[in-house]
Amino acid sequence: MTGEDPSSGAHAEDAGAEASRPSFPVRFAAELERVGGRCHHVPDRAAARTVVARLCGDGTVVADADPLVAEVTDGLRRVENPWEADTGVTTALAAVADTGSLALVHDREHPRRNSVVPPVHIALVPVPALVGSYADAIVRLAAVRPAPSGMRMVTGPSSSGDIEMVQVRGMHGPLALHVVLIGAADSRASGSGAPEVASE
Amino acid sequence: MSGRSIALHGAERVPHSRPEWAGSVRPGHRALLPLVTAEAVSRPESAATAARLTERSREWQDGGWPENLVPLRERAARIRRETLGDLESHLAQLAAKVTEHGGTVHRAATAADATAIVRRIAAEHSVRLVVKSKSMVTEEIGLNPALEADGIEVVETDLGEYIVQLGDERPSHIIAPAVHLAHRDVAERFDALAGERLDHDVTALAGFARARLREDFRTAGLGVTGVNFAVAETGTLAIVTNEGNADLVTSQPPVHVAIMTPEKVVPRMADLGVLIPLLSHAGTGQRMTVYQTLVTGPRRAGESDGPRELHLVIVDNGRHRILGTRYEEVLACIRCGACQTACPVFRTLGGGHAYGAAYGGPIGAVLSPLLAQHEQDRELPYLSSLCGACADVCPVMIPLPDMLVDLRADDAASGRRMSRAGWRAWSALWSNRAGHRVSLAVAAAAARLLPRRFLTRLPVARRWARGRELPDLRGAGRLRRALRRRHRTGDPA
Repeated sequence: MTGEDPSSGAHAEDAGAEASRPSFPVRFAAELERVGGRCHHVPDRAAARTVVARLCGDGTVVADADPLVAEVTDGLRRVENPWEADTGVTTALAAVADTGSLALVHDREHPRRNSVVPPVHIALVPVPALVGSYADAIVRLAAVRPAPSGMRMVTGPSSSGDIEMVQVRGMHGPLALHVVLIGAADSRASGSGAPEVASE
Repeated sequence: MSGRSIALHGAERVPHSRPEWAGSVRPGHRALLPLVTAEAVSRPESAATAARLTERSREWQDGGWPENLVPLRERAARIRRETLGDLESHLAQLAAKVTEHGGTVHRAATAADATAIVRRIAAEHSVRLVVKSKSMVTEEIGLNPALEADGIEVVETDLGEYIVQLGDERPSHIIAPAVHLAHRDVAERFDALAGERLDHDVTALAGFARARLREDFRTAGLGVTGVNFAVAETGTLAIVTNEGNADLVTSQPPVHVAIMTPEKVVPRMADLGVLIPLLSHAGTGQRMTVYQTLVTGPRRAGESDGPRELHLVIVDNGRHRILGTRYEEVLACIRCGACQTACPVFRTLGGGHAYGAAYGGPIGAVLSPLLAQHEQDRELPYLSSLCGACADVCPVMIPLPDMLVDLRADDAASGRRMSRAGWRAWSALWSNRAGHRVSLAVAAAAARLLPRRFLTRLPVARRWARGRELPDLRGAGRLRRALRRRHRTGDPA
């Protein structure tokens, strides 16, 4: 992941106001929790591994074939069939501070099902992957080459408002969404800081 | 290849308690609109639906547009109109890109052409079970009955659509298909389906539907979705949900058929960054809906899920006739349903069923007569008080009230001879003083001679007049006479 200025694009004119607002990780965590997800901000991969091990317990896990995911899920009960898994662990291309959204890209190593079939989804997100706005994340997705066959924006666990317009959490997609944010909180200010977590 | 539905197992046990005009298959001819609407208004369920919609409308829309969305709204309105100005070249680009990524594009002129294409694809793959993600265009073209006629089971996987499917109803709102039903009604349907009494907690009922539908995602031979936006520059189809059903429908079955109308195309990926936040806010008051599923062609070599085949069906069904007319802007609609939630007439009718068309509410009252699928839809523009709430909440600023007035004018100009003659006679009568005076005298005399509730005794008017009273016209013309007297005697006011 390159260290491009996260406040670029549509929000460049707000650069002054942007500086006085809470940092991307703080805003992201607040927004994600507002929509029913949980954010776990940890300093490094070792701490991420501890959090994920606690969340998964003895349950079965499907995971993306990705170096970051492999390291963090090492030692967990892995299964191949997502329909038999309690938890799916994936990466994300980007995460949105304004809305608590994740931008997922699907390919051979990152199948669609890992993040939608198991009842719990854990996404591992390096802090430099945070962007300011939803539009910024769309720009990131549009820039992926070659264009992926599947991409997805996710904002919280699945939900439905179809019975008396009352919002219930947990419909066809995951019932619970955890995002493990990995890296120092101030890595935004230093652009491409925290290089040890840049996995892509 | 594909199995039979678990979700619909026991569906025959679910009683169909709906009125005839709410049925899943639109009848060729319905009762006169005033009769249907009178019946809809008098149903006790309608008041409960109206209360729910009014509460949500207040919650989501009061206080006007959030500051951050005001500029997005203007940009969205511009993007949609610019695209309509050059629709064919955007569609050509979209088709080229989808094809380049390995998808197959089909253009269909009519509803029948579109359903024939989907039936052919299903037959080629010997499909027995279809899972669907919510799609209004498939309601418009009658896809479910067409597939069912071929012996295929079709399962609606959106919770609201599943609930209305079990009751053999049409969706009653663009984004809240079961808004006309109370929690209790849903519980009764699921109890009947299960053949036992379930936990009636809302979350437990949603969980029951989740468990019932889960196996169908795995065994279906074909997944059908609509398209919220189709990006011309990349060939990407964007599908917006909260439930995650579109992600399963577009990733698990071996074939994906996406169905859209031409105006769903947008030029650039970046346009999604403008349109999707607006759609989310206008539709459900969310900052973002939970999922935006972006599909660019079928699965690639080496991928373990995603469809092996992707078909995009672009069905016109009358839209080319709207392009270039003064109603063109109605095609800017992004199907958020905000105008329905905001409309006092839609709410009082207890949802969209009484409109009798696939689309109800202000957008339906404009679009349905223009699509001209049914002669009777010409009456729909009269189902509005012209209060303007629909224009205020529209995320792409469609002047729906102006269009409703214009459509009424069109209807009057080309109207049925009887009503045209009636309006002419009234106009002639009230254009001169004597005619006006005579009409008032006749009304007053009639009111004295006929009993107040005589309408309920007439055979045709009885249904309409139930619960209504005529205004007291015995004093018709009294005010005019008093004013004249005062004028003559020079009394001060």
